Amino acid sequence: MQETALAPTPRLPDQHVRTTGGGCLFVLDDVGVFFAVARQELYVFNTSATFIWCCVEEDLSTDAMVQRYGEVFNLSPQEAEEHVALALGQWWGLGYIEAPDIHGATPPSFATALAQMLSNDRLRVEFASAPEEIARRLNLEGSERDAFIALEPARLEQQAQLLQDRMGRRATPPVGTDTLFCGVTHGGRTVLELAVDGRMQCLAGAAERHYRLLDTNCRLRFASVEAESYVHAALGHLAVDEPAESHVTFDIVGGNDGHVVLDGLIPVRYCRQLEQLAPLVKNAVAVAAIRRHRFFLLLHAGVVSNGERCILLPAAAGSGKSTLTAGLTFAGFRYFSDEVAVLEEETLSVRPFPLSLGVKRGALTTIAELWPEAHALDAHTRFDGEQVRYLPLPPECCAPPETACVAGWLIFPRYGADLDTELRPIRRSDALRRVIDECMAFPKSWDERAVEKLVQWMRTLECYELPMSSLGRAVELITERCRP
Amino acid sequence: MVHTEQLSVGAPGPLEASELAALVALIRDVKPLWLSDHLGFRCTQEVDLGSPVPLSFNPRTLDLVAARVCRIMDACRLPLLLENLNSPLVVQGTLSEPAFLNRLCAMTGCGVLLDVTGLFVSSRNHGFDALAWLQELDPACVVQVHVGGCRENDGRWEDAHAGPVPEEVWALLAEVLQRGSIEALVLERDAGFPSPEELARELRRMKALADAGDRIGTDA
Repeated sequence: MQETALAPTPRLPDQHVRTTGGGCLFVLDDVGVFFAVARQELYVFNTSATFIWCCVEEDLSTDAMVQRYGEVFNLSPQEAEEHVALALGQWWGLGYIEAPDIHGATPPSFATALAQMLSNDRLRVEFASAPEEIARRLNLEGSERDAFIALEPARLEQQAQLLQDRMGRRATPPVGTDTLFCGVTHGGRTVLELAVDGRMQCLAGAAERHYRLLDTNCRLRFASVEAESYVHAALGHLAVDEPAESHVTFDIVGGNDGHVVLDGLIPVRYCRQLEQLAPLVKNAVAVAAIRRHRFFLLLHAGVVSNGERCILLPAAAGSGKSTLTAGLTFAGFRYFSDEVAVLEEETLSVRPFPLSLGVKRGALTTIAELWPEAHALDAHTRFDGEQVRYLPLPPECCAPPETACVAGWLIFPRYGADLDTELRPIRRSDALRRVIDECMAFPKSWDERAVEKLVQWMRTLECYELPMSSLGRAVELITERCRP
Repeated sequence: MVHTEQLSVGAPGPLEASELAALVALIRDVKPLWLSDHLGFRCTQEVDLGSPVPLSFNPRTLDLVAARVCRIMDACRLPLLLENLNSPLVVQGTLSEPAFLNRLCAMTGCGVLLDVTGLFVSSRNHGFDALAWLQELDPACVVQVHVGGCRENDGRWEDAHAGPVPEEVWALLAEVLQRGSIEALVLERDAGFPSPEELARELRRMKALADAGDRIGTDA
């Protein structure tokens, strides 16, 4: 997420420029949300860049653009030309526009020029036949120009392909990895050996449970009653009677050497200690439910509802999101999730994803003021080493599983012991920036239509940030602001 | 140790303050001995390429990288180690990579994370002498060394971090350890795991090489 910076640059011959289809712009408030199709990246343009892009879309000549830009932003013709030339130079370098004679900004670094080459297929094709012309248009000078011209087109393609492959691998991590298959337990056996032994035991399993999350029925079979008890503490509120069909089955097996979660015959999770098992199984169930669900996007956010509309609380770990979600739930809001906001594919309404409300050690005292029994709950250890307790949620606190609720508010909480607790309105464009930062996943490549939908959704929301040191005051402020 | 691809030490423009703050917080929690990244750049103000790519080694780049390295080390209060990058690209410069690293270490006090397998792979793909490269590098700069498996695929070598360490890499490692002391030696293996016995054999061979020259400061 970046803003297009504007700085002085020379020369801009009069010409018409055209968009290439490599990017598209939507206006939110008075700024542009720009989507780079090939890299699947969203940027929030500043007002100047938004204005210039709109001029390009209107097919103004560069002279007309400069004149209009100067009038609107009250700049001298020279300043206006510098700004327009810089923006057009960047967009040409990145492959968003075609132009007969756009020059780059003041001499760029070699790294800037190379990054443009590696991210712009069109530029690499032109470079292969006319490297000196591309160096001239990028405005490279001296030894950096020499280094640029000496780049071998075939190796540039290899490097670009390698970067794309790596990006692709990151987007789709494999289920079950070599590391897990061959990992060695602290008893000296491999996870695979442990899994095979455990699988045999589980055929005559000690316990079986059924849970439902989103539209997924999940069957868990346990080799030991002890393991079942630990896991049920975290998933109990999602329990259902045995359904006609189970979509996913996990076997939880193991013993002294550790515990393995099996999906069919594939070990998908492993932990050493029983205290680590519940977070692991909870995660496996959550991932399975998400994989089967058609969603628009997932946000890292707490979610509650006032009965009519949802309040989304997107934030990074450690910002007080779960504590605030718990506080709002105890204050009478309906609990949807303390980790993930699931936006439905077509409507962008929010589905309940009510994984257990996890309370970390640092928040235990605050939560115990609302729910004194919290101290007595079993402690579980997450894979990042953080200790959590799972609050048992009474059914009346949770939204019914099939509900889909329209989002009304986006509130970004940020805990700090020294902060004044207040609800501050923020611009939707700033909120969108933060949403993108907290966006966990979207299921497939986005196109222009998807981005338009996201921007339209943002227009319907009231957006705030919430610095807070007092949970009680934060809950009061939200209750007051987010009435049905 | 904290090893990352995020620092983009050769990138133009200022360091992102929020990213630096996140890194400082991580280091405060993890308390590593070193922070390391690659000698390359990943982001510009316009684009995040997703992985580091090579720089043009020249005095202008040296100044830029040195400024970034100092800023990072000041903020993190930790030695930064830079790893030689293995890439399909060959980028022309006025300095060689070892000369660039020597000057950078002298200017900033950072160190080198020497990826011996990466060096071997680059030398095969780009047709240079890995031993001559090593001889140009000041051994006092090398703090940490990585070795791992690599393979040839369609005439191109890949640093796959899978499979056994080839004999040529063992020979280069021996050369590195004869030339100077290092602080840590790491066997990289991300996939294609062998039996624990085979893995232990490679680790013992590494330790034997290090012990032979009394060349390692901390446990391998």
